[in-house]
Amino acid sequence: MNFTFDWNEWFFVLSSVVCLTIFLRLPKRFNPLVTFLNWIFAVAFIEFIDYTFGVKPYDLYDFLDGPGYQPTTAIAHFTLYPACSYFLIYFYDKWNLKGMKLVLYIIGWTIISISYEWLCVINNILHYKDWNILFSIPTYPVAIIVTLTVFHFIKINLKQI
Amino acid sequence: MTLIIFIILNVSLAGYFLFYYQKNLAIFEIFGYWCFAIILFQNMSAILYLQFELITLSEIKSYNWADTLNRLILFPLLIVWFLNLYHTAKTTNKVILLFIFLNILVGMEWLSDWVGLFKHNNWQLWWSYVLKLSIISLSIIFMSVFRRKFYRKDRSNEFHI
Repeated sequence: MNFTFDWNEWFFVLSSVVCLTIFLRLPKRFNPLVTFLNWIFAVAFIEFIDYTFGVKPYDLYDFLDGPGYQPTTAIAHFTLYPACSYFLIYFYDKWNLKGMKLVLYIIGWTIISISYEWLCVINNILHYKDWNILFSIPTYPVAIIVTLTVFHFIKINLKQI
Repeated sequence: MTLIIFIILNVSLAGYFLFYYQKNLAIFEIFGYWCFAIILFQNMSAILYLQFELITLSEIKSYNWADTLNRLILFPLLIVWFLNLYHTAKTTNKVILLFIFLNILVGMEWLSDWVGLFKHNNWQLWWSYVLKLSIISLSIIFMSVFRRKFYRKDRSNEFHI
């Protein structure tokens, strides 16, 4: 395994710890089942993206120390990304966003996501191969809309019990 | 052509199970178990491919997408279908179900190899049985924890979102 625990791993782990801490300190808003289902969906979704486009034949980017399976990346898949997905649906639901406010919210999250991706690039967490940060700009709104749609799906189906 | 066949197979089986088949699981259970199975299959594939190089994914994009579809739809669907039957079955029938679905999953894996979606490298058949049995076992454990933690509570407490 091409795995050494240096600054890029620390950055990823610290990011995960910060996001988990914020998640735990936020006032509980949802039924635990809603939180859990959104969390597990976020893990499945990000793993689909990274294990499809981060490996051959696409191989658009690598994480951390190279193309091998990185345990720290797996930790981030299970903590960092789902926590951020939770923040997304938390404030979306709290502020009851619709129309132009929702559009601005999606743009805001896109900016946050692009900024964090840029931080990952300069901290050697993310290594682009056939990818460019500009390509990420349209992909985050799609991911956000998918996440919000799944959130609504879960809410609707739980109401029908 | 291969991709089209697998798209038809995945979509028709999923459509049949979700819209026509008499299910014993609530829709949010199906969603949770499906996501969990996706996570298991994605990580198994990533570890075997990226870390141990025991499988080689096809570099033909259509074949790769067929394999991705199987990891996202077909294999998780078989797990969910199994769980749907398993939790209401008597003990003897549980064993029979396990035997049947284990062989279906292993059969689908080797069919994927034969068609060329991926290739086994220095692989032993019994490893397929061990890995698929592990996935099935973890899924059974997940289902029992899930139902104990969330499902009955929701039924009795009538949570509102």
